[in-house]
Amino acid sequence: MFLDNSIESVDFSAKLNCISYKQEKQYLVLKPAVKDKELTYLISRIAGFKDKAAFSDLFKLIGPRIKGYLMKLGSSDVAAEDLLQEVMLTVWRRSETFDRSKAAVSTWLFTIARNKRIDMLRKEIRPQLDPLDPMLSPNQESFADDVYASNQEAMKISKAIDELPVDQAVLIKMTYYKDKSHSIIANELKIPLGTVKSRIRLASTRLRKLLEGKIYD
Amino acid sequence: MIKHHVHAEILMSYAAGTSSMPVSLIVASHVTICGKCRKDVQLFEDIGGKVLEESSSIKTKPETLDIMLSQLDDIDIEVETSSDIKVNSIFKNIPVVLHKMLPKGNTLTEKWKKGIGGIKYFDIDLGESNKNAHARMFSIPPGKTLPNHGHEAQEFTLVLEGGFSDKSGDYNAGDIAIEDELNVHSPVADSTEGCVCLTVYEGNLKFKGVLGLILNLLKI
Repeated sequence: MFLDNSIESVDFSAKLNCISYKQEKQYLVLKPAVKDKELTYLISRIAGFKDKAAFSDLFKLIGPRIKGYLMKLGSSDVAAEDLLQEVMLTVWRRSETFDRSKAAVSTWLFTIARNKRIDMLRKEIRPQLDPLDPMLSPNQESFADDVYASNQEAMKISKAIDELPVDQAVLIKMTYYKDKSHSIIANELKIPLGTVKSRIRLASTRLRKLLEGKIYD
Repeated sequence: MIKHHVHAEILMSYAAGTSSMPVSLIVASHVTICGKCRKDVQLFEDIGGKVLEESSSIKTKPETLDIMLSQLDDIDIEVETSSDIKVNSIFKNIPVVLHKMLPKGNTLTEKWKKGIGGIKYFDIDLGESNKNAHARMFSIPPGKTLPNHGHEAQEFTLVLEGGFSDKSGDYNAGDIAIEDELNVHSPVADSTEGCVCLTVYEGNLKFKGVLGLILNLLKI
């Protein structure tokens, strides 16, 4: 997977070393990534039946990964636990608003975790488009197709990312895992900012092409 | 028809949640109007989903689940996505995300400050943590030119009504112009409609020429 074979921050490697062998083993068992189908089923149980067992299963399945994501972005263990609880309680509160015709569950969970992290970190609300804004241009409708009908569709993105050249994949990973601007990332990697931009643009063109007509059109 | 879009790396930072608040504001506003960039944001949020799924697991505290389970019954369930849309007849072409940030008041026309040459403007409060950034609404009369200026950092301009032209091209409603640090430009508003736009930049504008010298001193 593209996330595993590229640059790790020193801090994070240190944290990884602290993880016991048992946890490492558990981590390996969970590979490959969590199944979209399973997540979708659990969310539908929560939305439809207020099923606490499904909530517990969802937490066990994705909670440690959400925590891992938050800590990789620099949250302390304590802050990550607080945020994780907020994310999970938001999932419970908003499960009925989840629309799988618009996004995969993992995408939905990601946007919740992302927004909660920003809200807490910056003590400000992240500006984002209002889904009911009358100004939304009409091609929003094209997403009404059940684009994530199968786990297979969601896997196409993973596959497309895996096929990216390493130098592009590294920059994508850093965009998500480092709370830093591209100019700072360019400095850290000792490459020109223009190179960072052009690599990400190339990767985006490639991803759009690989996914063309399948998911986004 | 939108011709000028947001670059992929900026959309990706926005989707990843790592772009600054002022940049997020103008990108969210553009993405509301622009279906093409919105598709890219969806793609990048899907990548975020994959990043989340593939993040290394870190063990949670044993009591976390029980703490949450004990709270579930007290949570008010949200049945549908809510919205804060309020109709505003003065600024009907403004995305809700931007609208929420505008200064409060009975009429927004009161908020315009008079600048040079009939150009009107007001600033949007970006909060304590964005002191070095500026988000400014401009209303430029038809045919008027903003003085030649450069920037300390990237400058984003989103056209909301009318349009403007500079050496890099013509910009109409929905278009976003992204000027790099070193670019010096002097935008001219559309000759019939003028231009209402949002401009976001970090640091100060650097005006050129004699008029510019005065503007620089006035910190406009």
